Amino acid sequence: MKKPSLYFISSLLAACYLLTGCQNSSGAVWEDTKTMGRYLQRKGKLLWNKDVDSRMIETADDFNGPVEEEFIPLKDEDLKTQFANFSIPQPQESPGVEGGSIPSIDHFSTPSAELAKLFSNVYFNTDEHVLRKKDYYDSIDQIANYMKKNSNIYIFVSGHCDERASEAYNLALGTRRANTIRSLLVKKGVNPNHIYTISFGKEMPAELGHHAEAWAKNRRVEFKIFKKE
Amino acid sequence: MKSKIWICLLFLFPFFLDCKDIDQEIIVPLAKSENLFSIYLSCKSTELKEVLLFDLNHNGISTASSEKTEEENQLLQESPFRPSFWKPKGYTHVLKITLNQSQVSAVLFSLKTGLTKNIDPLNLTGSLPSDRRVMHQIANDVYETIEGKKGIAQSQIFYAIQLPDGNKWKSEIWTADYDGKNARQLTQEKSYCINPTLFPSEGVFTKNKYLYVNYKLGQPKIYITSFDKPQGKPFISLRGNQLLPSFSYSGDLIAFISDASGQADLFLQAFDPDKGLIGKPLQLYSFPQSVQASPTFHPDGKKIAFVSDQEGTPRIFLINIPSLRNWKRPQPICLTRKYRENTCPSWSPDGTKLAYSAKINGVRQIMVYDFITREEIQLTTGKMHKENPCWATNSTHIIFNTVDPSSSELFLINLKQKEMVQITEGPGKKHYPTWGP
Repeated sequence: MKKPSLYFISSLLAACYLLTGCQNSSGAVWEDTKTMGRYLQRKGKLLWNKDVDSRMIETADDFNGPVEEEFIPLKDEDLKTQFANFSIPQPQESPGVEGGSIPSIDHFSTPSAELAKLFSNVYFNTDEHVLRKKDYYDSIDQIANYMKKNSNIYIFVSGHCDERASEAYNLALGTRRANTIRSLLVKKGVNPNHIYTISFGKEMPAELGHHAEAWAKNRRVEFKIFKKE
Repeated sequence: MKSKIWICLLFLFPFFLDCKDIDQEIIVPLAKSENLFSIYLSCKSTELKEVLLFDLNHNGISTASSEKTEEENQLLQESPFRPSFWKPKGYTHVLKITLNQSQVSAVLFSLKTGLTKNIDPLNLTGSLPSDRRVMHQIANDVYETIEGKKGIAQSQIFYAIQLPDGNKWKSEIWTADYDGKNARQLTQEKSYCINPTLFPSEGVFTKNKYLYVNYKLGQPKIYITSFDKPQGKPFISLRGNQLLPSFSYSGDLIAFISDASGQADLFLQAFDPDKGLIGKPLQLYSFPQSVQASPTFHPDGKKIAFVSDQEGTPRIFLINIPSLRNWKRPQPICLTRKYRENTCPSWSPDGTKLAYSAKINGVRQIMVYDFITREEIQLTTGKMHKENPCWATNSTHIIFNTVDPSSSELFLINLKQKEMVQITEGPGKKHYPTWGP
């Protein structure tokens, strides 16, 4: 009789602790769990002597780097392996530069009626850059097919965020969202030199409301098109 | 039986720990100066007196009052200054401003030391914008006399104002006195300009110039222009988006965010104030599937604090930056853990503090990380979101902007008085403030 009651009390206490420990919300517990996961992953790599440090700078000449490179890249193992598929360098030619072949964004237009459905916006979850709906991946497939068939099409992929994080952080997050879509298109075979990214952070909201519905509509990527004659 | 008791104790143990709600932690206020100097100010011009009153009330060392009949009558008398009249009224200093047609002179009486300081006469032009600067100079002289350090009253601030233009948004760079007055537009790019960034040291190349981020051609690029030119030109040749530039205090390095590699990474560019850019940008920090933002330099030029979401939510991390000899980058250290969303770090010029924005109970507030005590201290309260803090050269004053549905304005706060003072008003969203010399 004593045994079950002891186990019952222990279990009850454990449940109380887990549910109310530090009075954190379930969201906070989830954030802590994610943080712990990433931390352990990183420390685990260190334990097995995987190189997670950056390259060393040893002389002033290191700021010059190889002639063919526009910037001097990091050479970390984890950067090479973990997001090799996600990180596609930007096109060499910036749009709008004097003497260049691609005009500024002012010459890129919102997709016309027949292309509007194809180039429709894609939306993200809070603070995420990964697409969560299968429909969006289908949409990316269709855009990729269209661009492969029309080799004179160039696009601007603009990343936007909702209003809840700071302006500065959102500028960086918008960059990440736009580049995620760009990488997906490149992986589908689109010429990387035909896709430009731009981040507006939260500076250009689609919806001006201050509620969940408006935020969901603002966490988006939009497309603009230029047809080179 | 013993083991069962131990099991019980194991489960009970957490309840004995001090597990306060992270959002309800006790806020440790920054040390308030208990002994602010009390200054009586006498000045016949209402407009100029207002300038001085603002300066003396928000310099972090004094409060000022004016327009009291008995005190004014006493100062009108030609008789020598009488400490016996002033001391019982609680003043520590009396500042008497005398105006004639084209000059202003000032006398500061110290009731603590009994000393009198005559401030040299200064010329007035009759134009309020320029005469305001003369009064700021007097405020700085008073500050220096009392505190022995240079004041910030003559400094300038730089920021961006976003305004609707048809169905588009435009943003241009503006400047103003530190109190928000004398505002004037610097750029006329007719595009989206943000992030004004000043060169910390003047050289042949940097003289009279500043940087900003411009969306003119589509992708945001770091631009350079002169204060007297409304349009600039691209500064760093690098593909992709270039965002959030920040200079080292010695002016030999620029940190910024770029997606040249395909994701938002931290880059570093060597720089010579006399010659310009040196070599190529260096990809300084990247982390798989994470976003890097808002770099800020330690004044020694050897460390950078920046925002990264590599551990989940955005937090502020610290890394060593490359010296040019035998350098190895250490692991980044996470500085801020008290709250979950920390962004916009700004290192104080004395290197002892880091201001940043943290989300507390759903509202972004300005926080200060004190490197000496390792405390994270909440500086602001209230319902409006606050972000983009930037330090003045005295490491005491901070300028930041609010982000509110109805308006976004610039505010000033100092660590000793901890009172937010709104310094801008009018149309447009004011953001990305930075402090000039």
